[in-house]
Amino acid sequence: MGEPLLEVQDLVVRYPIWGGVLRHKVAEVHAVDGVSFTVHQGETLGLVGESGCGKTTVGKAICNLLRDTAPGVHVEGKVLFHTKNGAVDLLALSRRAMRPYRSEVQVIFQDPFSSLNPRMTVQEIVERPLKIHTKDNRKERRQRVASLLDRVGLQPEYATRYPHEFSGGQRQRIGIARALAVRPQIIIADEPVSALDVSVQSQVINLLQDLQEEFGLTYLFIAHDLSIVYHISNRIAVMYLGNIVEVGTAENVYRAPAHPYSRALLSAVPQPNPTAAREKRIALNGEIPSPLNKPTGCSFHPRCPIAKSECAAELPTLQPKESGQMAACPHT
Amino acid sequence: MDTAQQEKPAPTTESPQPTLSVRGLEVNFRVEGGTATAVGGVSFDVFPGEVLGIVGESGSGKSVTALSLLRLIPDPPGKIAAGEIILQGTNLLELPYDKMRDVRGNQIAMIFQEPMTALNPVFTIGMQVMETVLTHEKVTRTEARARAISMLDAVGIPDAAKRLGDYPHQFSGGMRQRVMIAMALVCHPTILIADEPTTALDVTTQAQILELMLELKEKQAGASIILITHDLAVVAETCQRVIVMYGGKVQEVGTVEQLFHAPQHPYTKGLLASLPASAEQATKQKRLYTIPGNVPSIMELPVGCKFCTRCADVTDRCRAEEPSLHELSSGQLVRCHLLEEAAGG
Repeated sequence: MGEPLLEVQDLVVRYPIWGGVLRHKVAEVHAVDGVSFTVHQGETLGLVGESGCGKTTVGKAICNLLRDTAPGVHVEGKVLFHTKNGAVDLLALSRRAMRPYRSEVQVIFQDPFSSLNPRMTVQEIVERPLKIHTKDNRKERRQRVASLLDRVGLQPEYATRYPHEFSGGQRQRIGIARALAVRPQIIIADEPVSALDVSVQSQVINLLQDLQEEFGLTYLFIAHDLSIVYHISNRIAVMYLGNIVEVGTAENVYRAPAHPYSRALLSAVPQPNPTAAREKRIALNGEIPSPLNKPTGCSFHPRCPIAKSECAAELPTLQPKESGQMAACPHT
Repeated sequence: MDTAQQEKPAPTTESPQPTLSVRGLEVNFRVEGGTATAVGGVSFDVFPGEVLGIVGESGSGKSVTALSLLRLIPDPPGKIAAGEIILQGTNLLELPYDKMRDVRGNQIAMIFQEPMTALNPVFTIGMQVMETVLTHEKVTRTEARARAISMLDAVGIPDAAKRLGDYPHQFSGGMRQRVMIAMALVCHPTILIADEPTTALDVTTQAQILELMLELKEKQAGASIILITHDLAVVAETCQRVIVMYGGKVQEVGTVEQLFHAPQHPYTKGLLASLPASAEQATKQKRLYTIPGNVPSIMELPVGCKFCTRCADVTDRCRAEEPSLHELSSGQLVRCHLLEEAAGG
């Protein structure tokens, strides 16, 4: 494992809920509730969880996108970005001071249809970060865009076309080219392949892996599809209702999950083999509670098959397990 | 589609009398500058008691096929141009409109992908489930209400009697899909078409919903499910027979074991190979297998084999001439020149 590149410490994000005649704050959604993890240089950390677990919010908080997109949001904790001259807390930076770091931390979004401006050509889309972050002249930018498009597997002639002329997979390649343009160190990929067809998914995954090798990129790979996360990640963190419940190497978490939620999640994943002898699926009762009123103590206890009475009282912390990973459950 | 009419039906693995037979179904859409063929001559049978999977990627024609079975294709711009859909002896395509209404929800019911948009937001879920019963059966409102309650109870909605008066927005995604299933099954249809029923749901909820669908099917003798999905793993776990579609055509038909353990069509093979390693494999592969290129849009489908633009073993014949669906010695149906030549010697 390389040096730490990005360190998230005790991240808390609460979204306000507005209500009443005067639109005052009536409640808060605890989207992220004290999350800490480290991403090391050159690795891929997979962040998995079901909808509403806060995984996307973590991604947005890291690139400091929340305060501009969610008015009234409460963000607490630290996001330390390690540079040659020491660590910088991205959350504490003003908009202007954040700017140089935006070229270090880039994002690839889930929906290749809404994340590209339909009124801009591919050239303009990929060129835009270069205009903002570099002093390259027009000719240099043009060359750079052409080489980026070539690198992500698009023909340079495509530069003059508009996003609607491309398929989902091609658009995701444009998004990747845009993220790469400013030579970032870390890319936050939020469900980058879940909107794509199966036969195109593997192309994009391979491309991401090739680029990582070529440019020494670090990925925070946010997704709900466990088999893809396992494939691409070195380490995996599992989130449930705003907390990380388990973190460890991909092999450990995928092969020998230690937290009851990770176990249930893995056993629910269908396998593409009709004759495989499979273990009994762990049936979970009910559904994920709303993050509006989280259960007390361990937030998984109302659905947990091995819950004990003390689980409702105390919030368990991540502790090392025999198999090598950390899990927030004292009963396994 | 001249060849479509002569195509053989899918191999019979169950009782020889199919509940539903589709023959040479062709669906066109009028688009700017011509017509696009979304479904180009599809034939298959659904047998009593089976779960038939239709898999394909976007633009393969799987959803259009499903909508055509209920004649729900918006016309214009769409049009069922040719074919027969025979449900227990009646050709649905020849039925007058009001007779077709009797079939919908009564004999063939459908579950849609988006539980958020498929329910009407301004009616209570009780109203929406009862409406199905009141439309198709001569029952009083009280009876319909009782039926709705027992159905909602059967799909696992706690406190069904109380929640009858709730609106769709008061339910979570998984619960809404349960309401959809209750609506679909309340009249005990012989065929349930489920179009990507779990795509919008989380994995743990997906497992619950799939199990529920199979469980309810078991309770009704002779009922069948047509499961339409892009997720091969879901197919492997729920279906008995599978149809693989690509470019508006059936490319391969076989039992789920045949398809997953001995896929024949280059497209099926490629699809299965491009999945990441599953849990039972010892190590993860370094790189994923990829099918080159993109899924072609239905506007620019090739003349010959629909897969010829992406196939590794493509020949000149593939580009010029569309292969027919033929049976292999294993019983699988495949649409591929190379396999036909190999089999024919």
